[in-house]
Amino acid sequence: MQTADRHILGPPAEGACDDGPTMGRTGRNRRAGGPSRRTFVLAALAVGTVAGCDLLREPAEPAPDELEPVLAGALDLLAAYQAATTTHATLRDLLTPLANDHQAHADRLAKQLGRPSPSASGVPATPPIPGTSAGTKRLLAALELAAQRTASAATLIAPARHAELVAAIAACRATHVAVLR
Amino acid sequence: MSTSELVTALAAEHAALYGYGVVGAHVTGAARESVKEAEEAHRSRRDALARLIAARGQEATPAEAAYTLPFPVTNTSGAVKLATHIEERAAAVWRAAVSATAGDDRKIALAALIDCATRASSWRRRAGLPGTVPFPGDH
Repeated sequence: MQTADRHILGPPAEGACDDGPTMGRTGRNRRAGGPSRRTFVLAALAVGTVAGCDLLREPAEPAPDELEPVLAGALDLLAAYQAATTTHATLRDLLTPLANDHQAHADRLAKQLGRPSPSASGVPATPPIPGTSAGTKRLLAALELAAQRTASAATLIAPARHAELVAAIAACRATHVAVLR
Repeated sequence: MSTSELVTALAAEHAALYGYGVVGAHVTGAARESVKEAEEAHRSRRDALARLIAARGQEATPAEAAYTLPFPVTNTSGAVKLATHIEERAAAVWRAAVSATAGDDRKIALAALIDCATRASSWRRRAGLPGTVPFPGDH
């Protein structure tokens, strides 16, 4: 029921459900001179606002499932690009803009998930980079294609508020495949 | 897909086909082949969209006789720039359609977005510009 409401109504306007200041105001009134009629009215409004927002607000936890694999994919790709440019300096000009796209994806996804901007440094599993630049490009193209499929699958299950972001990421990864081939 | 997204997407595909007519008049060789492939893709998408609209009991709007170009095209580089513009605009329309759709309709919109973004990337590289953008449809 709540899910259906959320999709029809969409997320509340920025700050509309920021209950912190509302509660603070009520608290200040209480400290200032005991409960007045105004305090009760404000308190009632605050409770109403919070309750109303609970119906509309995106839950902070758990994180939206469809974004997690797309973010993990962006970080895996970033790590692979870093390893590839370290091994093959001649590919740097080709690969750096593509890696920058993945960082932009990771930043935007993290923002949507309410987290700080991530980096690939914590990614433990980077595939072995082939000894030739041609082989490396083929490997990256295959990783991009797999990651594009992940983002496409996420697009098909995403709520409207996330669908465009993951769709754009899927499309970007598709352009990377074309650039690497 | 609501009717308005269908109609908007159909209008974008009509405009893309008109634009490629202009592009095709100014390019030769491999670029001309790319124009033919792009026309084929946009035409088949336009036709499928028109059938979908008709199947839902709506009227599929025909193409306009002419469309205003975003800038004058007089040579090959202008034509390549127009081709890029066509695909970027179509990508933006289809990306917006993604969030307005669900199920099979969203699949159609996503496939179209990916196709337009890939063609835009190809045209950008042909023009010597950076081949990719992080969020295709940001225009």
